[in-house]
Amino acid sequence: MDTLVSIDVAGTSSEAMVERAFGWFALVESVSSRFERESEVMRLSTVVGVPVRVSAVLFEAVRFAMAVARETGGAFDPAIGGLMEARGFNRSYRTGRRVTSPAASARATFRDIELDAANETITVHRPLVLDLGAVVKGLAIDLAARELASVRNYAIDAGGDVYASGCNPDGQPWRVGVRHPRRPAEVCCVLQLSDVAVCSSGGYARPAAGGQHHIIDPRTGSSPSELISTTVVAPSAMLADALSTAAFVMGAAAGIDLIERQGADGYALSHNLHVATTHGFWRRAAAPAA
Amino acid sequence: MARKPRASGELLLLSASAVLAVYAAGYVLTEPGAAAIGQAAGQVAPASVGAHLRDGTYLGAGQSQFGSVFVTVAVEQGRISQVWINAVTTTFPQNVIASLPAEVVERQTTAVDLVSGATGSSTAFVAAIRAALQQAQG
Repeated sequence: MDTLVSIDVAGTSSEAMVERAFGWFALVESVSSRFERESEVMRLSTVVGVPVRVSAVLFEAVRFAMAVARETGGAFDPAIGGLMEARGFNRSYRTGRRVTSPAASARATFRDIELDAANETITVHRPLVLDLGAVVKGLAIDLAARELASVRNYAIDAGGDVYASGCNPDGQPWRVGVRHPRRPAEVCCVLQLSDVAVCSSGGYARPAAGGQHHIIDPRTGSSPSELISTTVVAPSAMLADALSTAAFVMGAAAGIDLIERQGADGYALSHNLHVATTHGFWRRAAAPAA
Repeated sequence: MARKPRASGELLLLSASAVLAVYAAGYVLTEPGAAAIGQAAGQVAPASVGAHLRDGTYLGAGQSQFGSVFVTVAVEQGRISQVWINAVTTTFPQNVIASLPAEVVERQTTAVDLVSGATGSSTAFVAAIRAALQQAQG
């Protein structure tokens, strides 16, 4: 995930418990990294047409990503890794090493992936690279949050994806700013959150040449251009993570509709700085955007 | 700030069940991250596994001077049923130790054959298995 993770506990907790919470991030990354040739997910990419029994972490991450893919008609697609590699997004931000999968098809879709829930196996029907980047950070946050459940008041921040539980040290809901994509020193709004996650997606984090960036519409192979950022608030970080990426690809109208349908709240900012939100979004804000 | 409860979507239920399923798989994270690697290093002497393994799925990390190996070991009915190599960060490619998980399952022991030319990787692999099995025995 190449992300700085911080856990802020308001109150008492055991060091071992917090260590275990951090441990989930190391475990999930070791299983799911597209930038480590020997990770479990990358080895899965090389076995075609044969059911492969996988670990629970990998199976659940793929199962969830597949459900989001079906729900969005492929606007969100975990089979996009080959396309990402072809676009040059194959360098580990941590080690600087590049990983390439020459056999992987850039045209693979989630329909080339078959899950067997009874046996916890995954079969890929053509060479492809799974990109679980839009779900695994959220999954790790959710796993860490369950580890800390008995603490009640804490916040987990994994590179800007946040789960806020209970209250901050002042006994108030946690205050989480949503970064302005054009003005890094400013925030779009401040959210007051308790027992929910907030995740944002945007093209500003890893820009590439020609207006392209690290979020690609799997259906067209190009970076979507309508929005500059999306933010989703949901009870699960994995859900918020996936919905913010999917909504960014789908655009304001369809994206906000998707978020609303899944019982979450969201905010979408377009290039002309038009703001679209779900009906409930501003109830979570401390102050509306100026 | 009272909010009316809203119907949750299918994806929220699925995300919640994913967390439960991972916990049900019995991962044991008693010594995560750097702590596990530090502890496992230096405990690499091959050893037979006792008969008292608890069923579950255990994460292990092992280190040699060439890097780290992460494994997952599944124990079913007291026997090592599956071994996965999750990640290898050694300077050697993983395929030089690819045969080792099957050896562990077959022999039910960490006394795998060290791999010529990749002693560092196989040493780290054995350490990772031992770290995982320590949790199964604990």
